[in-house]
Amino acid sequence: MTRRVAVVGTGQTKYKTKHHHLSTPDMYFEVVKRCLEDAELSLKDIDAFVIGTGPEALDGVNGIDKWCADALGAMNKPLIKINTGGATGGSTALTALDHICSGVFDVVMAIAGQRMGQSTAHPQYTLSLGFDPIVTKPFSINSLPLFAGDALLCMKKYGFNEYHMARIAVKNHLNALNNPYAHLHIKTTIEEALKAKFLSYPLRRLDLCPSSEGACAIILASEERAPKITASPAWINGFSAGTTIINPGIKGMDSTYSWDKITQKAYRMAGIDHPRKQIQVAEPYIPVSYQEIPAYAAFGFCLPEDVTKLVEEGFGEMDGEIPFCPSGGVLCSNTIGASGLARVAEAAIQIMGKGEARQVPDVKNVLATAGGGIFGTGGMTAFFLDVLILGAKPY
Amino acid sequence: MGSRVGIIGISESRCEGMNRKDSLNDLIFETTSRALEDAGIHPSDIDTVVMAEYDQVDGRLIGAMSAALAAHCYDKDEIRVEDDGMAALAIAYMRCLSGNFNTALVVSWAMCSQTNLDILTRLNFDPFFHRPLGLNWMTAHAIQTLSYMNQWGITEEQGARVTVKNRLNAVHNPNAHLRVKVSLEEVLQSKYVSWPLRRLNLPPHSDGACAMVLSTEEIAQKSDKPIAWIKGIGWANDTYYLGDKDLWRLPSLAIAARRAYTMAKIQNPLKEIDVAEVYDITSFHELMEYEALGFCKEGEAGKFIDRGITSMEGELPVNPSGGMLSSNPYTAVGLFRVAEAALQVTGRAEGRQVANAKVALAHAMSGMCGQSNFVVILSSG
Repeated sequence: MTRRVAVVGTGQTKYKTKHHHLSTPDMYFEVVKRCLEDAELSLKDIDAFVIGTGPEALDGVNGIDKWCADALGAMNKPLIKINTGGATGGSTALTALDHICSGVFDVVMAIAGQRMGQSTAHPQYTLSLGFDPIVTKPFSINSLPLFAGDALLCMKKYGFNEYHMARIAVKNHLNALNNPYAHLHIKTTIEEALKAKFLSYPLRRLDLCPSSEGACAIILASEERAPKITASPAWINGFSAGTTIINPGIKGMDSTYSWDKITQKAYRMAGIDHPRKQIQVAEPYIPVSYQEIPAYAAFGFCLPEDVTKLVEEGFGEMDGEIPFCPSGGVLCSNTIGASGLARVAEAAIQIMGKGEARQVPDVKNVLATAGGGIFGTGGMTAFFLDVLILGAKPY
Repeated sequence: MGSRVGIIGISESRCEGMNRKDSLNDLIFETTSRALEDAGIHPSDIDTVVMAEYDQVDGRLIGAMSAALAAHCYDKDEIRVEDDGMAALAIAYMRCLSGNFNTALVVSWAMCSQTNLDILTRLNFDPFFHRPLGLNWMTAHAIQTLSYMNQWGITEEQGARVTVKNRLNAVHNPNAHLRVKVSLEEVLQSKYVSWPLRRLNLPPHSDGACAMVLSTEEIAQKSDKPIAWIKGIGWANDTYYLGDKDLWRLPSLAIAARRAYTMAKIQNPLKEIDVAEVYDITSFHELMEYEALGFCKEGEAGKFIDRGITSMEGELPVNPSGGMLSSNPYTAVGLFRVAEAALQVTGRAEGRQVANAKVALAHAMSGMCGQSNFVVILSSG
């Protein structure tokens, strides 16, 4: 990268079904304040703002960025709004990165959030409006059956079963117990997870993320400014973003189809040749338990045929080889807009050593991703993935 | 960090009241393909695609997903801005400057015929203070216009002159939606839609798309076509609450312009800028923008238009394309302004060409009553 950039501070609200006591600007005010406190900066140090929210139909107000500009402290300052669906948080971080890499700005705040509990309709109804109105929407499809179909495809392709999915789900739910911001704090067992209700076969209650409200913010600073702000900046050493349009009907094309290609690009940028040796923590965007299983192979930690073995060995558990989703991940708090940015924030937290009960020792490199996708016209699916590699040292 | 970023390919669709020929994806595909053709590069040479679109205007959630294939995003870095098209240009500019990307495709579109902006923009107001007042984009801008007229004694005739000028310019723009000129009397006799705004003080609602290709200096110099270089860019945001600001001025535009002028080393905008494309959401807003952009002193825009300085024959022609008052594809308006400014500095504006245009300014707004403003300065050398 031509100009190095580091995360120097993070802030999050508690993720929950509904923030009864906060208006939308209040929610963003809270997160901006926490983020500034974490970085020990004041508003006048921030040169520009980037805000990301997912579909505004969920929030019920068009132009959340405009309404909340005062609460962000963006008066008289540059502000741009990003929306790339599920990948919004990742795209927001990458846009803030562009602001600094270009040399136009030095310190930029990226904020992302979503209100999910305000709509009178269920969020899944609102999400069904994203499908193409002629071919797909008459099936009343939303993200639940989308993931269920993909899960069946992955089960067949990678040879895992319900037990493996339950094991991942339980791992992430137990990790979330150590994260005070996580939405779901459920102490559960594999037996319970396997007995939970089916929401859309083969996905059971504990395999799926909740719908949460909340916001997340991070501050990015240039290579000149970052070391002066904090003693342990989390350097963004590699990044990559990609769009794939696939046809799920074609054998073997699951939602993780292009992840390896996109991830390898970020690895090359960050000088990661042996991901299994060089990466200590992964904080990918995993809203549904099954997706973590093919991700082991997609991120280059093993061959596709070995993924089930890795699950059985506890590869991604907190005491395993590479802890996956130490925060509990998207499975335990999914705000759509903020989910991607919270992954970047968690990666930075792990590098800065601020993970408290969920801190992984000796973290040098962390993988964070943000993803989104939906059925498009004629059964084609567009998937977006943003990958960021954060390191304790600049590469 | 690179040194310069240039616009190497431009494509505008025709703006029309209702595009009956194309689906939205067809419109996007055609516009982006023509921009690539204009730049003389293959889709595989594009490093990143930046889209600008409002979900609510398209009536699709995360509309960028369905548009991704049409906008040549397959297997590419892609991002979508939910802001005016000029915000997408700003990101593409920074991406090309960063050294991480060499080429960027920017595209913005709107199908205003498929939605009702007057109802839709009511949801732009917060549910506690503004929404109970029943404001929408039109009534909010009417309040702002009234405040501006009262502050400086701007007359209806002065506002009408802006409409007459822009609609006359649009006659020579084959892509404009309204291509019939109007007289001062016609404007002043048109119906009040939201007092003090008359029908002809307001823009139409159009369908249209605009795309352009940006690249680093290294790639741009391989082109045999004239290049529009981005010399300066600035954007800023003001308070949201209408009651908290002086509605008769646009302070965030003044800040954005100052940033862009500093970057482009412009000291006297009236003398140094040859042509401007501004966001005339109402004819009175064009006058307010003259002041905030520093073309004239605060309160003097009325006399400024009376003297004809901004007409095609004047010292600083503004909106030679006909502006927003003749074509209004809501989200893409800002990108159209940049495209028109780029056509002017590269001498490709045909019937609407301003003689010897070397430096051009493009301006866009987003939000209500000019909350966010973007300014871009383009130059031919």
